[in-house]
Amino acid sequence: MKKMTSLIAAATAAALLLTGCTVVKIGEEGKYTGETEFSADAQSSSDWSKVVEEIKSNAAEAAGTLSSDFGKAAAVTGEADVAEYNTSSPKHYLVLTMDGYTGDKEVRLQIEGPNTSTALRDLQTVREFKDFTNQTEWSEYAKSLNNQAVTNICDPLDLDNNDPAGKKVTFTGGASLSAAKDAIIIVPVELTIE
Amino acid sequence: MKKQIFTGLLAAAMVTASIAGPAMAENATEGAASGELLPGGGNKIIYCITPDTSNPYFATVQNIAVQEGEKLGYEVKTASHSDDASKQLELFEAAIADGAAAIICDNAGADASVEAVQKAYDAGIPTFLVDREINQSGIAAAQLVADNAQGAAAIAEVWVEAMNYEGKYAELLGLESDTNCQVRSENFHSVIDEYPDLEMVAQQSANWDQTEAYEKAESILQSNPEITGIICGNDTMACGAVQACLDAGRDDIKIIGVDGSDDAAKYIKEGHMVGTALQQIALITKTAVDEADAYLNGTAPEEEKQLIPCIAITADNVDNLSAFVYTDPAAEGATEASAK
Repeated sequence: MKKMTSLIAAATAAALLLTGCTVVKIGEEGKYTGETEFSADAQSSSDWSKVVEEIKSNAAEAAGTLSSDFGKAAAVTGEADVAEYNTSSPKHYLVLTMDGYTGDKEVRLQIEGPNTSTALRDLQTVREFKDFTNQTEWSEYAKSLNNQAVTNICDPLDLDNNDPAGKKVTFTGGASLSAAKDAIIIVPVELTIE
Repeated sequence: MKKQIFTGLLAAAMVTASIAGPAMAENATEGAASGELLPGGGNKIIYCITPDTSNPYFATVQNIAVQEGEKLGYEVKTASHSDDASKQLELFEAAIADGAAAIICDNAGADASVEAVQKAYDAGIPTFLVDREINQSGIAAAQLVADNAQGAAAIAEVWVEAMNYEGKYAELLGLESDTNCQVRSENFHSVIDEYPDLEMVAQQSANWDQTEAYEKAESILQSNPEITGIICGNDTMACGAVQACLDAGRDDIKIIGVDGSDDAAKYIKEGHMVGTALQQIALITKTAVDEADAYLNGTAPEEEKQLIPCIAITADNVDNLSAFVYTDPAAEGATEASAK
């Protein structure tokens, strides 16, 4: 009888202890702790319109800017002729010719494929490196902004079915040197083809 | 004068630290909470703690710290943690006990190093991290980080073009517990994996080590003679891979590394390496010592986390590289022009 009483007491105590507990589903801890998993895509998606506006408002005339040493990255805008739509590698880009450009490097406007440019990230002030836990997240944010350019700017033009070679383009974007420093790469935030 | 720390000093320092630590911690925490700068430990000593200096990259960190620190009137003591977080913690405790003014550290792991940096912070000693970051903000006075992600992606892009976007290749990883090993590998692949005709047939760790890299590359070449490229997490391993390829009569293998060492520069000039990503460690270290001096004189860095870009080094610009210092000819020209 004593044993039974003890068992009932223990069960009651356990039930009382559990009363008021909230069961947290796996993956939903952030709702309660305030900590959420890092998502470069979510951040770049919510920042995209602000980044576009900032680069547009800071953009300088492309031909002159790109003819001189413009440093790590430059926001540029201008008109150009499309000399070629290069799809010979997975990296697809327009080769541009611009009146007034006196530099010796090929000027490319990135359309899709591998893109290591960090120009869009480096030209925006919506987020800073210190806002991220480490350089990997910062790097993912740069890649994700580039992906936003592909999704929002380049894909709708469907250039694989509308060859732009020989046409005129109007563009605004972030420019930087290629990794080998043999070309200038522009990642667009605005692009129209006549 | 450059001084190595002896075990005896370390033991004595640890005892002192255990006695002095709590009182110092209380003062420092009060100061930090009120937004004041950390005062330093009272002596005009800078500790420079890095991985093993058999790698010239880390030797450069210590040499530049000594050079710049002494120029600014500090005694600079150097030590190596050999990528062991426990050993690193002991060295931090020694620095605390020694009353160091500041600590310059190329750390032993993004998470594993937080405890040591926190301990210095609690003792009122500012830490200036160079090269590698930690996964916590607010306890180091500065984190001057080489942008490994950008550097690895940039040199991978150069390598992909050298491979003509196709072929089989191998990867030599660094020490897998090291954050930089993961960051570099991930960012190599963020570029390379976009090219479907590039196929990785072997991936092995050579633990940042040249001899191990030689042995691994030799073995990979025997089992996968069809490879035409090897990507390496650092230059030390890349140099080991080059030697293995040359000894096997394979001068057609496209090899890249990361660091920007003079040994890699020599191989790039000779055509045995496609390139490397220079981490500007001499510049980073000098900046860290200067920032430490300014901090101790009342001016904190504007930003704790500072990202210093890497430079892709290829045959086209390798002549501008020496002792981890890249001299931009355009900038030099501009300086000369403005001087005239």
